[in-house]
Amino acid sequence: LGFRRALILVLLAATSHCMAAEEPSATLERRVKVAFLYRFAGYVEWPVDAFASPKDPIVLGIAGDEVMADELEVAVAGREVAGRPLRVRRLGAGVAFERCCHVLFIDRSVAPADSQAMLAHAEGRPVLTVTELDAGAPRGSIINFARGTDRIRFDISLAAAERNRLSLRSQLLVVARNVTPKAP
Amino acid sequence: MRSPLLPLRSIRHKLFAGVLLTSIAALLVAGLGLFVYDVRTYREAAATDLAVEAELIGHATAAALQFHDKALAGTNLAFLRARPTIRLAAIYDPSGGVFATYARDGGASAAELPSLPPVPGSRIADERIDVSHRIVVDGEVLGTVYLGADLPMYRRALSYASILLATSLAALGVSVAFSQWLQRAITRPLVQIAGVAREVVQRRDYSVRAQRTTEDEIGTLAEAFNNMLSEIEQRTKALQASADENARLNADLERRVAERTAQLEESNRLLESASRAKDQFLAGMSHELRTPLNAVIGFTGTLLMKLPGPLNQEQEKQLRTVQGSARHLLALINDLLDVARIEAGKVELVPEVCVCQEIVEDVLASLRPQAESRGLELVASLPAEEIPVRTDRRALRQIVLNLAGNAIKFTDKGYVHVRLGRRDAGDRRLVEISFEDTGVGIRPEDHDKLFAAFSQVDASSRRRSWR
Repeated sequence: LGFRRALILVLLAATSHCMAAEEPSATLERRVKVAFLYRFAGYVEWPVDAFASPKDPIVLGIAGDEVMADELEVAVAGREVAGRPLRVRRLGAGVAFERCCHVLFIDRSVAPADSQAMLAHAEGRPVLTVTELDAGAPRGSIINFARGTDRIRFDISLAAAERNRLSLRSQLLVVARNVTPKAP
Repeated sequence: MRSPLLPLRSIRHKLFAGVLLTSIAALLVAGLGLFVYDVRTYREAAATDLAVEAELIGHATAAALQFHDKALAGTNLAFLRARPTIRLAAIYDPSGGVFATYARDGGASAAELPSLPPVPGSRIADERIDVSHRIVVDGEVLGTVYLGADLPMYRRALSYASILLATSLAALGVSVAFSQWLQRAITRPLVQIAGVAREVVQRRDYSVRAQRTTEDEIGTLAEAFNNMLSEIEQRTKALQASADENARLNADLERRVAERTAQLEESNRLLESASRAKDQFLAGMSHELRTPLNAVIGFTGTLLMKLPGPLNQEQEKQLRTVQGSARHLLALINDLLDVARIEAGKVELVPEVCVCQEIVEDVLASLRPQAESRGLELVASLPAEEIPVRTDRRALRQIVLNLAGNAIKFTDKGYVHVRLGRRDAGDRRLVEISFEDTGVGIRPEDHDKLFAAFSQVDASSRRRSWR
């Protein structure tokens, strides 16, 4: 496990290195995703038991992309959504998901098996799961980033959101590319 | 009372003008107030409306801005098509770039879009209103909404003014109808009273009465007018009665005057005929008297001329006395006839030019024998230059004869001097004939009576003169 973790870290580092060295569009894409991530929080209603107190922060969990976590930290500094501060939490593979976060972002660099495990674990809990898989949203993913022709878009699965007891505001649905309706 | 501003002759027109002017003034003031109020409210409402609209768009577009959905922002702006007054709209991102635009008229007005987001707030200028609203979510400025709308103040003012005009016209129509009713209610009784008054004046019929139709001041006027008519009627009747009485009295008086006049005319006629009878009598008398007297004088003269035979001294003396008395009697009768003629107005004066010397000499020649028989000297002082006068020859001769005859008659001894001369007094040229004698004279107190009609100087003085 230690090896794998180390490998992931190395991979992450490599990825981040690669991305840092990438063309400017990749950097821009990450910035956009960062902004989207904390903005998603404004359109989500968590169940009451998701927070211990009204002033509890909204925790944004980032899995797989350290650079993105860094940028997100800078972006959310001093920012509040619905009266709650925002906090970034870096998640390694196989981390305990008990009260880990309110928004879970799984980078595409995370191995599908880990990603599957994370999603499976999050299912049924009040966690807004965000993935970025071009092939399509895996089960348990509520929001999935999709590369459009000119800009970053996302699909929403209302069925997954319902399973996690989250309700999404209609404004967000309007902005989404595709919305999978709730299960009948 | 006549107002120079409203030279209206009839109350009907005055009422009408009054109601009309009042209505117009009220409508004007109210309309102006409404107009100003509406213009202000319209601007404020437009600004508020647009601000709300901008806020709604901002709210709807927040997610689009957050998640870079320009299409959604464009769709949101496209809904503005339902608001035709909005000409331009734009959404700017936080960096100031244009995120989405809308132009009512297509590309034509898109050029007017501000390239940078304007300062939040509303601006009204030149029939346009601009509103810009900052989109803020959770303290993050997401962008700016800009709306540019038409503010058709002039059109609005025009349409509002036309509505006001139409409303005012309708109100005027109502007020005109109302004034018609009002003037009918007020003027009809007045016109009726005026008609009665005219009738009274024209026909002098005080028995007509105005009808009292209302209980207001006009009714009071009608009643007062009727009372006045009653009073006039009564007085006219009294006047007529007294005039009738007067006429009756006058007729009576005239009748009596005519009666008296007739009586007087009758007596006058009688008097005239009596006078005529007297004149005829006198004329007849004088003739009757003179005929025997002439015979006496003629035959006495014949005797005295001793034609029938010689007379002794005593006979001759007595005959001369007879002759003198007869002549005196003839003179008296002639005088009497003259007086009668003067009294009857039968003396006609015939003015002609005659020479005074001739008349005086003629009279003196006729009196000379008488004067010589009494032993008196009869002297005449006549100027050589002829004195012509225009007068009645006979009257002048008579006057001179009387005065000279009397002077001789009342002078026992001495002389009688007759003078003739001119005497001019101012611009009047007079002739003076004076008589001077050495007889008894006339007392100064009797001088005034001398030339009065039918007067005689005291008989005593005459008697004395005879002595």
